[in-house]
Amino acid sequence: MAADDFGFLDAYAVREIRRALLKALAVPGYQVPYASREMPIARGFGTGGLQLSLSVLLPGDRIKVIDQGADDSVNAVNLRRFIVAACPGVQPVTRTAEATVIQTRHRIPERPLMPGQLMIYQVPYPDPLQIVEPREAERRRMHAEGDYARLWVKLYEDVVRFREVALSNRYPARVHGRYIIDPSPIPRWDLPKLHRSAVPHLFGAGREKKIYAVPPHTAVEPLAFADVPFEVERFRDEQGRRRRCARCQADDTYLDQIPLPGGGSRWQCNDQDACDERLGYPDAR
Amino acid sequence: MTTADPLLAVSGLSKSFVLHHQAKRIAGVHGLSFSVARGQLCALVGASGSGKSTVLKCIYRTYRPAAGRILLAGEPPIDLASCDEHAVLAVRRHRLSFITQFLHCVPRQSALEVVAAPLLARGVAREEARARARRQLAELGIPERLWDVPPATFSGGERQRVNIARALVAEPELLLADEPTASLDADAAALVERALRARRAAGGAIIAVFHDPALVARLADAVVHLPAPGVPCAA
Amino acid sequence: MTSGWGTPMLAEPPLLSVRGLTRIHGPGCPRCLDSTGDAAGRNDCPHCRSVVAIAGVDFDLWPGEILGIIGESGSGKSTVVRLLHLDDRPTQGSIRLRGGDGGCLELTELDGAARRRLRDTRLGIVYQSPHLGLNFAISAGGNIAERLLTAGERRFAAMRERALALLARTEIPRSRLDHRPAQFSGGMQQRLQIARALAPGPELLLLDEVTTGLDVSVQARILDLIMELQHELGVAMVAVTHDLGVARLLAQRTIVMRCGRIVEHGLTDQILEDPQHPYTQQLVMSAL
Repeated sequence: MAADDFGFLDAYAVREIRRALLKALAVPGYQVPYASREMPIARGFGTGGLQLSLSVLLPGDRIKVIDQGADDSVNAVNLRRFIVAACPGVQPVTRTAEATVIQTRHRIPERPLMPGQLMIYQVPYPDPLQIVEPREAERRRMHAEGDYARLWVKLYEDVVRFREVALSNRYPARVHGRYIIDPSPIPRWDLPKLHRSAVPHLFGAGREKKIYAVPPHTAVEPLAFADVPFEVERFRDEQGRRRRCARCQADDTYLDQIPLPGGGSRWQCNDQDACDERLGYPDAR
Repeated sequence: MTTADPLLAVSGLSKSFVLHHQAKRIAGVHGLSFSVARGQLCALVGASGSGKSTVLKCIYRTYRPAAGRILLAGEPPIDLASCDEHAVLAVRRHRLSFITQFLHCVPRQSALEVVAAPLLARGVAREEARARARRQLAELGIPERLWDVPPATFSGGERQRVNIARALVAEPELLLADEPTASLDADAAALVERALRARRAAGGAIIAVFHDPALVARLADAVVHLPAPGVPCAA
Repeated sequence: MTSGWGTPMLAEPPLLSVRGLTRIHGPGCPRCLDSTGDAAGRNDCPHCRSVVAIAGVDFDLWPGEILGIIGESGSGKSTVVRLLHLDDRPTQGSIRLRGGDGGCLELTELDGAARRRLRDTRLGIVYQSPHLGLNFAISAGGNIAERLLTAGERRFAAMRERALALLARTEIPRSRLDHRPAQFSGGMQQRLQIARALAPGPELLLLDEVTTGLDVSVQARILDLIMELQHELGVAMVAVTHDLGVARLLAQRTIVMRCGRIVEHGLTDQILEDPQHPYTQQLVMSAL
């Protein structure tokens, strides 16, 4: 079918990936195996996310690609360029509000997502149990039986050693009270955005050949002890005050620390579009 | 002085030992019958090797009798020669004690804990068990400074009195005693003799082997004579 | 003599009933059972080369009781422990565990998840080698926490408190809570295994040669601890050992195994002082 041949992938690949996606949405957090296709970029550079984007995009969609919160990094630019070339009728955008599909690595936009949008993640390591169990067959068993004790032990040991869970990103979270997922390398800051989100979040791991999903309005709870609550990054200065973005003055965003040539550093929004939007898009043509 | 209604009735008890590797059979006792009533001390008398200890161990079921019955009165009566292991353990816990010739106990337990243990096993509360254990140790002349010390460090005589205290503390209906005073000096032996009399006066039945004939003469209400090794008992 | 500690009430039904337990490694053939065992003096079938690790093992265990299993290596005693701990499935036979509600659970019929859940909440095991029973990559407290977490605990402070209490009970200094087991002495590692095994409050504790290879004084301390715990907690135990002294100290009743079969069972003092079976006699004589 001509419609299915749209977007680089052949019709069979598209159908298989869509079927896997439907299953992933039906069983929230479950890692659905699929036959990851060869892409014209190397595995490990976002082939999982790319295959998801190519199989869901339709003419008229507007695609935004983020890498480390930025739309203009080399990887983001190349992926966006490829998608647009492979999908006639799909517009590239950088503004979150305008995008219908957002492919990302590391971040979820600061701006609240809206119904009709789709989040697609490039996932390097789909299995949260990988840090405690090297054998995949054993990990499958652990997921099937809900046997997550060893992950909890890792949290226990972290709290003992560091007084908190020492995971800055890929913080494990339980979806819909059942499967625990690796939410890809998003910072803790972004994890609460998955909880009862208005949009579907689709995760693709090309190298590991897995697809999983968090459907809209679904509970996503970070793993945490009842008496050691999960906390996001605090961004406090030496006086304990919340740091602000040096550019847009926001005090409620995820900040990057940027070293200054003469020593010292400044703090700035990691989400470039959110920062620009707050400033009224000063560089817009 | 066997009464019509004995606490323990042994009939036709036989025990010999088969040593498979030496293809040898060692005679123990053969066809022994006797009984003991509440409030009675029965002494087993016989030459060395006639099987006195064997009889006591058969009653306690440390030895497995080859034939015969060992009926302990009760509702219903229990045949200690044939009942299952759990029945034996229950009888040991609630009704029967054995003063053996050696004290086997847990390495780090204090004398007081060793003596209180049978009471705890019967469900007596810890404080009461310890109080009764203290009284029993005092009665047998164990100096108070030793109560909190493990018996492993005691002299032979002191250790044996701890052993006796442990057997007596729970006031067993039936007490088996295998040469209880053998390793004791005269003063300690007198204390033990007094304790045995007290148990009997309180209604306990005692089956004992004494190394000292004078003790048999003074204490025994009944005497069971065991024939020389290998000779069947008279009917 | 045993003091009679923790001997069960007769009216109570057994906690655990094992019947006809059999484990054959290999294809098995109709002649396996007749060609192996005590009389044959071997446990490998000469016809099909299968190994009959155990066959026809029957016993009951009452609440709060310690049952000894003695025999030399290859007698099948460790296979019994593996089957009781649900690490392996029997070729035949039944293992029934009584629940608090009086109902019986047939352990051989449970699926993987149910087996694991049962093991995590109602069973505990202490191995001869601490490397089998402990996770050396995490702290002592983490080893205890792991058992609590599997059993569903999610409060950090409560886990720390329980771990400290268990360390105190097993005579490990509080200051060792966050140390790794590799820094512990052999005796302390065994005591940590015991603490870990007891963490979820199991009904059945399996002891697999727990004092083998330790110095005599260290052994005595561990045996002592086990007896105190049995007395305090009333947990039923199966203690596998080749050491008759350990059986004498711990167990009220003992089973003797040879070539995968039970050759004798009885009160422990009877087994040691009046052994009936030629093999038991040989064991007892060589120990004295």
